Amino acid sequence: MIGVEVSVVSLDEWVPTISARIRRKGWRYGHLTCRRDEEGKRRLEILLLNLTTSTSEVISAAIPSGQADIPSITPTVPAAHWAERAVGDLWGIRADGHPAFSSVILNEAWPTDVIPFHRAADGIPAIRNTHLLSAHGSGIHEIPVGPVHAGIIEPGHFRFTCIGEVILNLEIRHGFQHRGIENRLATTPWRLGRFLAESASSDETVANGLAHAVALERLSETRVPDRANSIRTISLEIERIANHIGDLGGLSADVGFAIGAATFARLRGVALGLGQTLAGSRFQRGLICPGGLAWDIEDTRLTDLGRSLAELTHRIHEACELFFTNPGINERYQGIGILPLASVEELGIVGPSARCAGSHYDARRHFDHALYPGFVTNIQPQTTGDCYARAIIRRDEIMDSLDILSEVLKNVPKTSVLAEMPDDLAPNGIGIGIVESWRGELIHWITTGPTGTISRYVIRDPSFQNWIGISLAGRNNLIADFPLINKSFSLSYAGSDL
Amino acid sequence: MSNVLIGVALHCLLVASLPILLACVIRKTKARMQGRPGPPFLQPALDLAKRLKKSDTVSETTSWVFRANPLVGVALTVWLALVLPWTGATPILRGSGVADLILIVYLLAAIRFFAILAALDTGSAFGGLGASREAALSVLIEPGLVIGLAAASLSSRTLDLSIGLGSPVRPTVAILSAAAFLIAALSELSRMPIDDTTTHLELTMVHEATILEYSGRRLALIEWTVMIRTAMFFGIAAVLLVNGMFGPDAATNPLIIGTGVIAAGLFLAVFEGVSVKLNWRRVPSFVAFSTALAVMSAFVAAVER
Repeated sequence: MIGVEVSVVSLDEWVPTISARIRRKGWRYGHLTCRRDEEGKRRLEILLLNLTTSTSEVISAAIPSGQADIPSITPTVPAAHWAERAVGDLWGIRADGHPAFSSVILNEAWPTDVIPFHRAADGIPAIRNTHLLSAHGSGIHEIPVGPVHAGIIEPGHFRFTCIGEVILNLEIRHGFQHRGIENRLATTPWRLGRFLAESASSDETVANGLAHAVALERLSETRVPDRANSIRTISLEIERIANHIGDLGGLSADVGFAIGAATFARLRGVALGLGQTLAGSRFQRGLICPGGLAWDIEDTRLTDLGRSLAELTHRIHEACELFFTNPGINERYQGIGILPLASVEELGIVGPSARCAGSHYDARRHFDHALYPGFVTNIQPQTTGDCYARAIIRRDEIMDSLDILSEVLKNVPKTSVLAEMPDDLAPNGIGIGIVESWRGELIHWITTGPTGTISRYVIRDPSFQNWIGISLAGRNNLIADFPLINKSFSLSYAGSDL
Repeated sequence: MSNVLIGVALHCLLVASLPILLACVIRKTKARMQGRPGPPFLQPALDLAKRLKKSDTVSETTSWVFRANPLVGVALTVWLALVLPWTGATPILRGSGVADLILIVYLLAAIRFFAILAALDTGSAFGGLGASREAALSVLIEPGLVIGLAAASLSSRTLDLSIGLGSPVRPTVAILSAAAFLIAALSELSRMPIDDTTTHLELTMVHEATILEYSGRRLALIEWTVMIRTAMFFGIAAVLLVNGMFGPDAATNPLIIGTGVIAAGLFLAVFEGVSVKLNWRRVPSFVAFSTALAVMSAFVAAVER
């Protein structure tokens, strides 16, 4: 169980407190956001995670009404880079001392007087700044890409500044899919919220559903039955396998490796089919619910799953052989889009994108969700931090997840699958759900009010933390290689826009 | 005389039909290579017909260059296809000097020149990117193209390709020249491993980036010229090889050359299925093979003459 410790500080102590506490051994940055307490006061809050004890801490500072700026912690905790900008967009609060403070969620298409969480009593909000960093000089040109892209992908704007064919800087502008999902989750009765939570980013349906469930179970101190935990693990790993296979296909397609692309695309279909076998829908919608599972899975389905799994494992090995022994693939991906370990740690990059550079961080090793952290995963991190390492990590994680699946399937306990949840959640509580989705650490952070209803719901998708990584990894690479770098990170736009 | 007329008529017929047939073969084979059934065999032809019926959208910021480019492309490409001996049948105006090597190379360059201008005319960043890459490529492939073809027609002591390509040539020279020519052709046609014709990633495109803004009829015209140029380049390579291996008689047999073109298409489709696109920095060294082979061919031709 994650225990959450709350310390209240004043805004003056904000930066020194965080700087001191995040340096303690075993702690890492989780997320930074703002919420409104029962008196209508804005509170700036940061979530810190302790990997050794699997606990977390929230540091909270009230922002006096009438004040529109806060001291920025980005200079000492660079991982909060995007989070402070998002607070700026949604609350009209300016982070003083932030090195590149500009809009990240609400772009120029939004009227500047639209500030979703701002209230008149808060005083005059900070003016939104939609400036993009640009460079000038001979041979320098800008390439705008998106938000409308070729192919069926999500909208996001990339502004490249290039010297000839080489990328000098990349500015990323999001917000074209901002749906106000956090606010909706805070105003929807929690029993209905799971459908909304799952749709935060649809390729992470299971992970979002699970993080949502875990956070609510913390708040109500519900213990999930063993069978539900086993099936949750199966469900989560199927999602991981399907998406990693899809990414390897994307990596093939982006260098014109047609056979690889076709093979992986077909196998992704097979892997999604496992989801269909398990949950009746390829994205496994609606299966996980707070307290356990929404329905029990018949044993015949689990047997079928085991059979399809053996076949898939064999095919995956063949396809990976085809991909990783191809000299063209090796040449195209090695040494491209390097994100060094130092940057990974500074910026709090999570998931495969971090493990490709030598980081060991995997939420499955530290935080309680499904059968984890009791269930060991054996993934060795890569060290080079380039596109090739990100491909290798995906392959290794597919193999590891296949092993986990066959291991879990051997012995699924025969208990009930749903624990009763109380109607009222703990008042004035904090529930944190941390799940290692296929993209990395996914956090659902729920705060309840004095009556036990949700007062603030925060989702920190791994993409939100990792987008800045793409920006850095792209620098000094050929512009023609950028699509490969982008694909090797494979981030969600919806998950970061929310 | 009537033999010549029949030959010319056959040539014109092949110019009209072979390129589209080749496009169909390539598309279908590529699909089968990926384990897909693929679209109906005639889909490329049907797509062309559909687009020709559609009106097109032209950006207001463009000038006449953008609108004229497809017509220039069609006019020059069809003219080249008519005068070059690439089908085995008799090209029009054979021996009159219109198929002069230098002229041909510069007419090809003129097509690219207009394509580049039109891409710049759109003012889109992708157009500019594609134009700059297309220009860089055209500089790289010219030596291989010129020297390779000149070496093959050395024994005839004329630069008129309609005669030169049918003159007796050593197998070594034919193979070297054909190889040089094919590598140059892959770059000229923006095929793998230089450019992926099927990609949707604008940042990686060469040729496709220059035609992104085209739609409807004009897009159909551009696609048709690409089909013709593909068949024409394969045809010339086939003529070179067949001439070197089996002599001039075989090289003027439309059946053999037609089969050769389709075989080259099959080879291309298989190659494109298994190959990986080159890093843009590696493209010059790949195209340098073409120049190297062409120079070797010229040496062998000069020594053995």
